[in-house]
Amino acid sequence: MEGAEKGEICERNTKPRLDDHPQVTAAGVASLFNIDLILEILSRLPARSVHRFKCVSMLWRDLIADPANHKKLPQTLAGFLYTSFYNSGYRHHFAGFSGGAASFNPSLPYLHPNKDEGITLVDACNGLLLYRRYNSSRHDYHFVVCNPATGRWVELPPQPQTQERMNRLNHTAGLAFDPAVSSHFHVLCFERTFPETLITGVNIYSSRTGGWIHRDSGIVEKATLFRSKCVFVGGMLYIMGNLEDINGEYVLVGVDMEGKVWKTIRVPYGSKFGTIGLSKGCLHYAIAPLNNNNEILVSEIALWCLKDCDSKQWVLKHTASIDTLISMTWEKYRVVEIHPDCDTIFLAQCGGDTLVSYDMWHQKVGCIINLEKNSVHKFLPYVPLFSEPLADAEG
Amino acid sequence: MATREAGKKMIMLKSPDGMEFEVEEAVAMESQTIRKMIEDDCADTAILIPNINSKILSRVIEYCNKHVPTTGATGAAASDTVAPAALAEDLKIWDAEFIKVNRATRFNLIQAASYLNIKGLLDLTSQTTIDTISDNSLEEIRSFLSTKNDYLPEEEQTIRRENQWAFQ
Repeated sequence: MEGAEKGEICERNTKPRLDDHPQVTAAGVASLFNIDLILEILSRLPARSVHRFKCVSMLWRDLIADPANHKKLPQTLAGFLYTSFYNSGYRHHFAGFSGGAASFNPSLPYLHPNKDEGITLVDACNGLLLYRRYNSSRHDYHFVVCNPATGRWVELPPQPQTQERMNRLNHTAGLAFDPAVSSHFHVLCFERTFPETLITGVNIYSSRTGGWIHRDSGIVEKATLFRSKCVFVGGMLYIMGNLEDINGEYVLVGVDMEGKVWKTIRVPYGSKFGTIGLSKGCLHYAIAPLNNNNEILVSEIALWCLKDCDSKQWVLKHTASIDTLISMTWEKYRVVEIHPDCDTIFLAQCGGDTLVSYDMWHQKVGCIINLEKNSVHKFLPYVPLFSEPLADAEG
Repeated sequence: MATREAGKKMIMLKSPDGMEFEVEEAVAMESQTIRKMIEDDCADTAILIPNINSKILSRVIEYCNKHVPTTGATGAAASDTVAPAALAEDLKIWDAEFIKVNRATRFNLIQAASYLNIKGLLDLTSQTTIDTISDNSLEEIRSFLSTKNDYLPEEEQTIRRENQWAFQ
């Protein structure tokens, strides 16, 4: 705070009075608003505002980009984690944006896999990643949660197994973590029957207790789950599912961290599959809509928002025609992700190796990212978390 | 805790322009910075608060006086007789009046709250600024904060393009 002295206004009054205000010039205001203050203000703004303010001046840009301030300032989408198929195995990659805050190292040095072990990326949530590490010689696996920005990681104990549940599948898992609420996280692993894949329950790991609990499914209807991504919002983890009874409609299945509250939310155009995501704190759903004849409009995209998960009412935010993009490249695209801080979606080229961002607000194609060959089109958005220590972590 | 044992112990705070303010220790300890000084026994006589002039310091003390948890002579909480919700509502109204100051004073208060580490005051003072600037255009922000745009036109174009998503 030494630097602030220059900008300080010296009062001539010998007696402090509460009702007078110093009259200052514009230059006085500028010098008052020093670096500490700028950081103090920026740290309380949403990520979108902070990134817009990079354009205010070079000083602001450098302050925001300085790694020393990363802990303090809100971070935004740095890129996507994905895998590619290579020599009968999978390789991990990170597709980052230019000007992004963090370059992500996908070689995972802190996970130390040896030759008998493999690692699959399962989920990402607010800066933490969930991996499944399996040992091919012992035929077992366990979950690992890590923060790549700090290199800290924690290995979860094995899930509880009982005789009656031995023949159940538990491959669909999600990570629930919100540093604004708690430094603790939950891992939910859904349990399904085989071969019908009907959901029967969930195993929930809490980093606070360090243990797993099992809860039976609280869904009345018969539901199956997809091995799709999960979204954590408002204390509930949501995942795409399918209701067997009602014409096989697609729904969102939500469960709270106690496994006590379950809900299903119907999605727009329920007969086909879209992409879920968290954006500006709300659940979003992006899908190519249907026309009056119930045909899919491949050249259009609709972005829906669920402002209130209790009302279950979807609001249509934007529709966009991607005709221009298609005519430019002669390729088909499908929506794979939604930006966490703005109405931008990401499209993957069908059968190709590019990812294209599309700004629904300005109706404009944004950046184009080249992917590794043979990429698997499952992308996990990564927003680095520099500040929060991973509860009970090693490394 | 030291406050309770010491009862109504007084502390002298000095501003760089030579004013002295005698305040209750409990009030001064609303500031985490001063609390640390007191707990580390660095506060025998008077504590000099650098960079904060008497006018701003008096306002900071006014805020701390209002926000210090009220305790009676016996140490029992005075809030026993008043509903906590009513107290909170009263404080909110008081805060809203307190923050009706000009921009320069507000920036001074943010700076003081940041240095003295008084979370409530920092939240209150910076929130008003956040509400003002979070949705404003770049030009409005530059003029509001009297910051000069030092980008060359092509540089500004590049940085705007890279961050176009943030302009939705």
